[in-house]
Amino acid sequence: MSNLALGGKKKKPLMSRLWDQKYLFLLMVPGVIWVLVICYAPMTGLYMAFTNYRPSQNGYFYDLFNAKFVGLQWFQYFFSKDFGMIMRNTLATSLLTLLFSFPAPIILAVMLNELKNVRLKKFIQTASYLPYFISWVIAANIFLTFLAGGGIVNDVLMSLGLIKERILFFQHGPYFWWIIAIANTWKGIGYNAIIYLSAISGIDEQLYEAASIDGASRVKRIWHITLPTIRPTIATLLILAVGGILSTGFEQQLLMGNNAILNYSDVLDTYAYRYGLAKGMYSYGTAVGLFKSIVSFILVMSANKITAKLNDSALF
Amino acid sequence: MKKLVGLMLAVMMALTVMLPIAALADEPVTISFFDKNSGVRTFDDPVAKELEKRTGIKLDLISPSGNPGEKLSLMLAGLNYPDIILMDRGSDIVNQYIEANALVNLSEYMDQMPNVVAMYGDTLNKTRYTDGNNYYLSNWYGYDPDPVTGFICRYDYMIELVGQERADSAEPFRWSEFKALLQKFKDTNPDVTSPLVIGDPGSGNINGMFAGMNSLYPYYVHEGKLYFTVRDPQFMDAIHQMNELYREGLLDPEWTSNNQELRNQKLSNNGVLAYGGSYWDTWTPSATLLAAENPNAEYLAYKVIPDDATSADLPLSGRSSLGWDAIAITKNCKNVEAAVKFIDYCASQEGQDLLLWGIEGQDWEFVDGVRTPIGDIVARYQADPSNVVDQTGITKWTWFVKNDVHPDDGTTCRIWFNEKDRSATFAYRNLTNGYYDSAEFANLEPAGSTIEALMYQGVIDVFDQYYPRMVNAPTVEQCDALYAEMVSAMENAGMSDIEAYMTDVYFARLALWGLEPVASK
Repeated sequence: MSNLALGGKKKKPLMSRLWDQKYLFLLMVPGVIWVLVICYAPMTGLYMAFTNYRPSQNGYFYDLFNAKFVGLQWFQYFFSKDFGMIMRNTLATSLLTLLFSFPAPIILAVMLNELKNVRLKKFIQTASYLPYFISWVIAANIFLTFLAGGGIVNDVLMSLGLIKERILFFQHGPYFWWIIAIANTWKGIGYNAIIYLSAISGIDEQLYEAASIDGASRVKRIWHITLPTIRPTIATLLILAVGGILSTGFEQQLLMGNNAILNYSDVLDTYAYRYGLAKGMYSYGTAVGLFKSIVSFILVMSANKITAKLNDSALF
Repeated sequence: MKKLVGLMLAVMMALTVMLPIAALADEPVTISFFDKNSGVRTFDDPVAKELEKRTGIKLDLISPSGNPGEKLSLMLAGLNYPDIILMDRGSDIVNQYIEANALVNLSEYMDQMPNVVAMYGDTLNKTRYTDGNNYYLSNWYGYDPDPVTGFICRYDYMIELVGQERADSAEPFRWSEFKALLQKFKDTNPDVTSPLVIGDPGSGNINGMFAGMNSLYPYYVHEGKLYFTVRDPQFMDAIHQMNELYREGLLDPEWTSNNQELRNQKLSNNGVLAYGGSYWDTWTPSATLLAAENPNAEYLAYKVIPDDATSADLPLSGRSSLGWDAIAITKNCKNVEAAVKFIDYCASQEGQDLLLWGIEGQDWEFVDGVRTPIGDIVARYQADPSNVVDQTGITKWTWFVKNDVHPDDGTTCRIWFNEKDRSATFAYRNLTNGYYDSAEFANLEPAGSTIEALMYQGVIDVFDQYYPRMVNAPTVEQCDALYAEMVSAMENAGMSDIEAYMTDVYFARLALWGLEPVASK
């Protein structure tokens, strides 16, 4: 019975079925090659984290596999020295970013959905989407100029009488975490709102009409129809956000930070860059990067599990 | 007939194969060159073309997009460095390239570089690697007669504050006198927030002006040992000076974020009396001010010495006779002989004159045996330096530069300084003899991927974090508390171990060079 398909025919052997679908598998070949070459092959470099790698004329693979094996030496050094400060900065910046940038696009998308004036809606959507296309070099300069001692933000606060002395935003470490969180949110709000808007556009209009007939107010319609319907999208983006919690940014810290606040601005990515690339300590930089990847992987898996239990929907 | 057609076809095929080979034989050799200083400049000006013509070598210039240090590290990791690289001599990247066996041993080619041997002289001995070989040549080498750092003040403000006679005087200002000037400037201009602007903190050292005034060298040498400067008894004197300026509102409160653009922006606005740093840093803001303001709105160099200094010739900053940059041929170079030929020509006096004076007969000529600029070229440069350099190519490519005057006629090594403008005149008059040779302190730090190198970087990171915080401390007591905290954190990062390592390297170097420490206290 088990060998019979639904139509009562005998199921073909595996090899035969594979052969039947050979053209489909052939179509997959470029994709598989791409994944192997671009995603998996470079992972051999992770071995560098356990060696004392030094490039030479002998070539990359020769140097990599003939480098002195040092075990967990680089990890031990990292955990014994800068781990605490770097993790504190990374998590503080990330959590603050998550606090702002996760709900902000949902709120924006819901508000845009409620707007009846199409031209205004399109204008807000475009204006909020625009910062996503601005490079961090320009964005960082905007923030540096606006938040400078003689910048427009200080001018406004002074003229409103909210402060008596100008605030030197880039001289105080904790301010920096907030600046990065706000900058990240400002850049990403429009882009993420589009994802939610597309999810909202799939909601059946009849649900809203029925709710209106039943006397549901606009807030109740949002609460009981819009938000529950886009919950899978919210869950997916939350999983991705949690998975990327250690990727709190790179260019923004590098461009807006300075030595006076280095102990607040240095995060995992900038730290790995400073040591790994700028200083040529490839093995140490790789070790820091590998640590970040492992933690990110664990976080994604955990967030996926938790979301699956809470929502009956998960990413994978 | 068939045979004839076959023969013709064979001849045509043979010609088709031979022609490209013949064409190749006529093509000049191409050498790729990474210059960390080249920025976005292109190698297509008259000097560049003349250089290619004279050497018969075509240069493929690779510009550093982004951070040159990062680019050099990436090229080393990927083994895709070009034929010739110009890198920062003061950083450990040079040793990384040498240890990776990525550089050609130039000592084996010295017989093909007679001009290099003649021009560099003893410098070649000092730039040898620990195995005794030369893997690179210095750029901007030799004891430098040119002035560098000082307090570069707005001339029009100085006239207002101290009068024309004192503003034009060559007599240095004492520190307390200069500080009073900053205060007076602030008092008369209450809205001013930054009477003194300095560059951002950089890495590993405090501001050169304040270090110099307190006789701080890159490292503290005491009783046969080398220490980080923070152990120098005078270190906190310098920090206190800066902290006092900060607390009294005389130092730019946002000095820690002063990249080049922000610094130029501030200096181009009214409300800054002085800039502490290299006198050429103010050329761009001065040009902006002169175009918009009165003819005296220009930054000019003044020397400020400590109150208790007994001589005006006090060395206030360091400058390495072994140069700023290192230029090397890499193992990727397929035609080392051509690269050697190119280098030897550039380093020769004729090559230097082409690079730094331009084309003879067009930009300059010999008049009674003395190099003399032709026409108004120097005047045009003084009015618009960057454009004239770009158009003419003169001093656009500063390679293998020897800091010296011409031995035959005594003229300067660069055409522009043969006739000095006001800025250069002040700098040469007020700042000359204001530096010491810091060559012995360069490249002492552990390099490459070692625990020592990590520890060194850790120590520097601690210093970099605390230095601005000490300067910006709200009280002297907090400044001192931060210092104690910093030294403790540096110790935890392995400062003593690194000092022991660098002491060995330092004294081995001095023994090799036959020198006494320049600054033993």
